[in-house]
Amino acid sequence: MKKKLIAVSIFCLIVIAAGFSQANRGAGIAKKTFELLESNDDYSLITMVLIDKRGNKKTRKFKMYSKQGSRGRDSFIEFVEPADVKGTKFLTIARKNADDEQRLYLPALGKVRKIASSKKDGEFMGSDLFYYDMEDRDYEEFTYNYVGEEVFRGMNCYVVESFPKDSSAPYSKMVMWVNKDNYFVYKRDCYDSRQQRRLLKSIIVLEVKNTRGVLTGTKMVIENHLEDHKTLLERDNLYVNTGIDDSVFSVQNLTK
Amino acid sequence: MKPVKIIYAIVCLLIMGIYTFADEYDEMFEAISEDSESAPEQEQGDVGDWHDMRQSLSLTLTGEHISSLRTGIMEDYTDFQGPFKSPQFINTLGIRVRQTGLEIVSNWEYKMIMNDAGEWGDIFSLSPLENYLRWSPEHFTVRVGFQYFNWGTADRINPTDNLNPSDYSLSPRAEKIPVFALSLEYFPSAAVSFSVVYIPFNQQDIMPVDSEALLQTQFPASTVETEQTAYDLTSFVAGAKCSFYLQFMDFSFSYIYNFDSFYTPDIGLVDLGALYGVAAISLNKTRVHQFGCDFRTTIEGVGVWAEVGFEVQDGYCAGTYSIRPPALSWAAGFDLSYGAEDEHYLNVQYIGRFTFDYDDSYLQDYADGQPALGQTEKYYREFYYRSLLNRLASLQEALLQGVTLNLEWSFADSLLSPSISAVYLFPLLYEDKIVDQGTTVDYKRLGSLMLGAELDIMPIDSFHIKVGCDIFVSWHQVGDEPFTLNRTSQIGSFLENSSLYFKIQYKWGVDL
Repeated sequence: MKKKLIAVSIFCLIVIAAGFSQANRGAGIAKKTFELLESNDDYSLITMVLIDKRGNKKTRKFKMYSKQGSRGRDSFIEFVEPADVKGTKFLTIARKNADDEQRLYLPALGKVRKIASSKKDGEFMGSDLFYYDMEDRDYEEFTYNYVGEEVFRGMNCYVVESFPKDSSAPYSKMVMWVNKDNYFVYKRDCYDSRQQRRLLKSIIVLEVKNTRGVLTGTKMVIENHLEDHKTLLERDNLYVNTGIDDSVFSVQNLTK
Repeated sequence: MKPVKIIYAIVCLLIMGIYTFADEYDEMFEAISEDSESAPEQEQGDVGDWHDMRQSLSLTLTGEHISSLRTGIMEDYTDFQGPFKSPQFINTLGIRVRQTGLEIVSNWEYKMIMNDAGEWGDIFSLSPLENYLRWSPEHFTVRVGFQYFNWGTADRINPTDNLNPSDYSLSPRAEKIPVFALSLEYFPSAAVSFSVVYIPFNQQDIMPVDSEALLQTQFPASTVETEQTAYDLTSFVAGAKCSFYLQFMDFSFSYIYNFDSFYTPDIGLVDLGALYGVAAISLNKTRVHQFGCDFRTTIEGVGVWAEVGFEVQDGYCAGTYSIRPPALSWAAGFDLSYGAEDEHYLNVQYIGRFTFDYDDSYLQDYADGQPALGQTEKYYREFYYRSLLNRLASLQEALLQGVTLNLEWSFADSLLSPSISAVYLFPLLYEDKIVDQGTTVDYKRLGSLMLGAELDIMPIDSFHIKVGCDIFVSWHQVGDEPFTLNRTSQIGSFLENSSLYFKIQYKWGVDL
C-alpha cells in the first residue's frame, strides 16, 4: 500500500513537473517572440479585402502611421477607400492605465470629435480583425503552455498556447505557430471567450519583410471560422524607423 | 434633345461606370490568394526616408453625384414647384493638390434643377464651394480663400458656429455658404490651439422671405430700402477661438464680432395730424457680439457634449427699443453606438434659445395692434419699432426649446440602413394673443416638427439608393377654432416642401 502511494505521488510530481516544464518552455519561446526588434515608428498603405461567405468582396484602404511613445503606441489612420469615408482621419493617443484617447475627423462635418474608446471585440472597419488585434500586447499579459513542434507551410515551428490574464479579452486562448529560425509568429488560432470557446479565427502571415532588422507581416489572411468570412490584408509602402514626427499624432494633423 | 433626357443619360452613364470599377475589386488580391499555399517570403523592406515621400506632390480628385426626384405630399402641394421639390441632378467635383506643407483645394458644385420653363439658363447653375490655399508650417495652419468653418461640438445645431452665411431658402436645415476669409490656427502644444478668422467683407444669409418686399406690401405709401453693407474694410467680420484637447475632455471658448443675420429697421416718421405715419423704412444690418463655449467628452462609451452661445447687439446697453434684445442659445446631448458590432447609432439633443427682455406685451399695450390717437412722436416711434423689430427676425417667443433625435440602423453589412431624424420645437413665453380679422383673440402654439425618414440601400461601396420623406409641420390654435397648421413658424413655413423622395447618390475619389 505504502509503495503504491509513493508511486502515485512520484507520478503526480512527474506530471506536475512536466506541466511546469511545458509552461516554462512555452513562456520562454513566447518571450523570444516578444523580444523581437520592434519598430519605433512605421508607415504603410494598408489594403484590406473583406470577403463574405458568398464570395462578395469589399475593399478598404488606409494610410497608417504609428509610433512608440512613452505611454504606449500612438497611431494615426487616414482612410483612402471607399469614397464614402475618404479623408476620414482617426487619431489614437495611448494612455497607461486608462482608455486610449481617440479623436475622429469627419470631412463632411469638418470638425474633430473626441470619441469613446473602441470595444476590444469590435471589428476594425468591418474586417475580421478586432481592435484588440491591432493593439500592442505585453509578454506579461498572458500565461503560456508549450504544445509541441509542427511543420507549417514549409517552416519548422514551435506550437505554443497563450491564455490572456485579462478577463475582458475577446479570446479565451490563442495558439501560435512560431518559426524556430526567427521566432516570428506565422499563424495564430484564436478561440472565442464566449461561445463554448470554439475556434473563432486564424490569422496567417503570408509574407514578411525585414526592414532594418524589424520583421513585419506584409500579407496576411484572417479567416473567421464561425462566420465563414475572410479578410486579406496587404501592407504597401512600408517605411520603418524613418523618424516620423510627433506632430503626425496631433489634432493639428487631423484637420490638415 | 430635351434637357431632362440629357440628365437621365448622364445618370445611366454613371451607373455603368460604377460597375466597371467593381470589376477591379475581383482582381486586386489574386496575388495574395496564389501565394497562400507557398512558403512565406522574407524580403527586404523599403528603407527610404519617409520625409522624402511626404514631400512628394500628390493630387486627389473627388466627386459626388446626386440625382433626386421628389413629390409633394401635402394637400394642394403635390407638385414639383420650387427648387426643393424639382427633379434635380447635383454634382460636386473637387481637386486637391498637396506638396510638403502646401495645399490647394478647389471644390465646385454644378446643379441642374428642372422647372416648368425648361430653359437651360434657368436649369443650370455653377457655384464655388471650398476654394482655398493652405500653408502649414510647424505649429501653424494658414488658409486663405473661400472656406467653411465648423465651430462647436454639438450635432448639426451649433450656437457658436456663426462665421459662414447660410442659405435658409429651401429648408429649415440651412446650408452653409463658403465665405472668403483669412484664417490662422496656432498649435503651441498638442493640448491647445488658437484660431483667428478675418473675413474682409460680410457675406449675407439667403432668407426664405424678402423683407423689403414684405414691408413694402404692408406700408405701400412708405419708402422701403435695404441699406447694403459697405463693400470696404468697415464690413469685416472677425472671430477668435481657443480650444483645449485634454485626456478627459475637449472644450473651447470663442468670440465673433459679426453682423446680425436679420435686418433692423431705421424708421422715419411723418406727421399726419392725429398720428404719425411711416414715411420711410431703411433696413440695415447691426453689429453683434457672439460669445460661445462648448465641451465634449466620453463617459463609458457614450459621447456627451454641451454648447452655449450668447449674442448681444452692439449698443444694447443703451436700453433702446430699436435694438433687438440679447439671446442665449444652447445644445446639449449624447450619442452612442450599439449592437453586436456597434453598427447602430443613437443621438439625442436638447436645444433651445432664450431671448432676454422679449416683448410679450405688444397687444396689451396697443389694443388690437393699433396705436392710440393724439400721442407724441416718441410714442409712435416706439410703436412702429415694436411692431417690426422682432417680426423681421422671425422672433415669436422668449423661449423656444426642443429635442432632436437621430436614429440609424445598419443591417446586412450596411446593405440596408434605415434612419430617422426628427426635430421637435416647442415655444414657451410668447404673447398668447393675436389680432385676427381686426380683433384680439387667444392664441396657442403647439410646436413644430421636422421629420425625416430614409431607407439607404448600398449595393456596392459609395453607391446609394435612397427612399425617404421630409415632413415640415407646425400647429397652432386661434381663438376657439380647432388646431390648424401654422404656416408662419420657422419650420411650418416650409410645409409645402414636405415630400417623398427617391435619390441615387454616388461618390468617388482618386489619388494620383
